[in-house]
Order: sequence, then C-alpha cells, then structure tokens
Amino acid sequence: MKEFNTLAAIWKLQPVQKEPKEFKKIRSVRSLLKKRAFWSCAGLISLIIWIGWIGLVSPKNQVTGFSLASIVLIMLILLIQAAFSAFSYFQLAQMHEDGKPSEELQKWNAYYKHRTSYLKNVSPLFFFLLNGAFLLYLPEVLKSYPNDYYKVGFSLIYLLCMGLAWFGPAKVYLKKELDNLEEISSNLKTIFQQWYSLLEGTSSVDDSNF
Amino acid sequence: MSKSVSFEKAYQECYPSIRRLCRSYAADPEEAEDLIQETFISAWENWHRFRQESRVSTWIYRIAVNVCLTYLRKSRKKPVSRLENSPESEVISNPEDGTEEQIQHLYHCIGQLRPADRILITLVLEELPYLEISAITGIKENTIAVRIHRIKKELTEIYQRHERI
Repeated sequence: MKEFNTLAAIWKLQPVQKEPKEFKKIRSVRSLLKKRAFWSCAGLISLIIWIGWIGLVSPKNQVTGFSLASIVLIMLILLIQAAFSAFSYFQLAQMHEDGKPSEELQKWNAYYKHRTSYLKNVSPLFFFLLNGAFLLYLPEVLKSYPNDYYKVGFSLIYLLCMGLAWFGPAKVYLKKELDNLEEISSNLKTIFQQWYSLLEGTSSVDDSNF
Repeated sequence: MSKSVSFEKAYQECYPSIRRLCRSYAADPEEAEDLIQETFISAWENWHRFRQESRVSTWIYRIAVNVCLTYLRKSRKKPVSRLENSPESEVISNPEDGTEEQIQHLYHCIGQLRPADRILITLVLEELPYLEISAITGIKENTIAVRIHRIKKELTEIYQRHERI
C-alpha cells in the first residue's frame, strides 16, 4: 500500500505542537514567584545576620545611641520585609495542592491582593523607614568631618540621592512589578475561569461510542 | 506520585498526539483547542477512576475519542459544519513548500471518513499498535485489521480524488 505510506509520511510532517503557552505559564509563573520570594527572604535574613554581626563586633565605646537605634531599626525593618516574603512564599507553596480550579483561583486572588497591597502601600513605607534609619546612622559616619557645612552638605546629597532613587528607578521598578503582576493575574484568571466553566459541564468518561 | 505531578506528566506526553486527533474532528484550531482542553479536564476529573490496567495514554485517548465524537454529534446539529464546508479555514503557515497545504488536505480527507473510521485512521497514523487501538476503541484486534485495511484504501482514494480536482 504505497499510496497510504505517502499519506503517513505527510502526517509525520506535522510540527510537534507544544502545549499552549498559557498552560506553561500557569506552571512556570508559580515556581518563578516562589523562587523569588524564597531568595528575597533568604537574602534579607542573611543581611540581618550580617548587620547584627557588624553591630556585635564593633567597638562598644564607638557605638552611640543613635547608631544603635539605627542598627536595631534597620534590622527590624528588614525582618518585617523578610516576614512578608516568607508569607508570599507560603501562599504560593499552598497553590500546589491538588485542589479544584475555583480553590486555586481563590488562593491566587489572595496572593494577588497581598502582593499588590505590599507593592503599593508597604514597600514605599519600608523605603522611607529604611532611609530614616540610615539617616540616624549618619552622625556616626560624619563625626570625623570637622566642618558642619560638610555634614549638612553630605546629608543633603544623601537625601537628594534617595529622593532621586525613589522618584526614578524605584517608581519604575514598582510600576513594572505591578504591571507584571496584573498581566500574570489576568492570564491566570482567564485560564482558571475557562477551566472552571468547562468543569461545570464535564461529563464522565463515556464507553458507549464504540 | 501526587495527582498533579502524574497528571502533568501525562499531559505533556499526550498533548501532541491528542492535538492531532482533535484536529481530525475540528478544522478550526480554536475548536480543536477546546476539544483538547475538554479531554484533559475530563481526565483530571476522572483521574481516580484510572486503574493502571492500561497505559495512561490509552486511557486519555479513550477520553479524547469520546469528547471528539460528542463534539461531532453536537456540530451536526449546527446549520454549517466547518469541517466539511470550509477545509481551508485554517491559515496556511508555509504556503511556499506546500507542506501545510498537504497536511490540511490530509485532514480534510480524514474529515470525509465516518466518525469511528477517523479515529481508527488517526491512531494508525500515530503508529499505535493494534492491541492499543483495540484497547482505546473496544473493537476486537482481528476486526481492526480488516477495518483499517478498508479505511486506508478509502482514505487514499479520497486523497487522490481531491488531488486530481
């Protein structure tokens, strides 16, 4: 049957179709976000330990009340940030359970709300608090400067840099993060809702067709 | 192995062949995607019923076959069947070498066969052994050989007839 072999050869010419990109996204997005949350938490905890260690090994007679307050404040802010990252990590980890799409969507919505609120409200607060804590440390850094003009000048330059950083790269980063989250969320919601609406009308396996 | 891990593995393994099977029933790629989705949702929902007596791909094929036949029954009720009336509805991706055109043409010819025959020939084209085809369709192995011989002949004739036109 030579002719049929030709048809079989044509059949084989079909490119191997990969699964739709949306389905890949649903799997990869979670693991990516989970990895990010994990490393963010691990990085912050390492930073806390490092700052704490620096504080401990510093000569006690050189540590003023301001610098001690600054170190404690910085460690506290970083600790809260690490807790937020850990919370995000556990929220994402829970999504791997074998649940119904509606439950998965609920979990995703909870994560989305938490993350959006963090980016919009909490992260600016952390930025200003962290810079406030660093400002407390400035007198310690600047105490070797003999001239007060230098001290005021340095502090103003520091504030200017932080202001520029906030209104420049920080704002751009936050907007990018929020846009990404919005896009991912919208894609995931569509996919989950499609699956859910299909599940509503799914019948069981039917043996009667043959 | 958890349900989601084993399902994901099966999904990745079966997706390309299930896609080709579904395309034999729906010329419109979006409708074919719907059939694939429905197949895998049904597999997910009925995962607990899979008793490991056959290969998971065989079981998913069975579901796909049922989904496709149900789709065909429903689409017959529609005033226009896209499969039989607009074979060129899908965009030809590479018209220069004619490969996509040939594939489209083959799908169109498969679409001319009887619903159950389409399944059999698709499974043959997928190079599945008769034993597995028998497990998927529930037809006896001996009967399959005879039917497949006839379907191969029929399909070749349809293909050649259309080629001449």
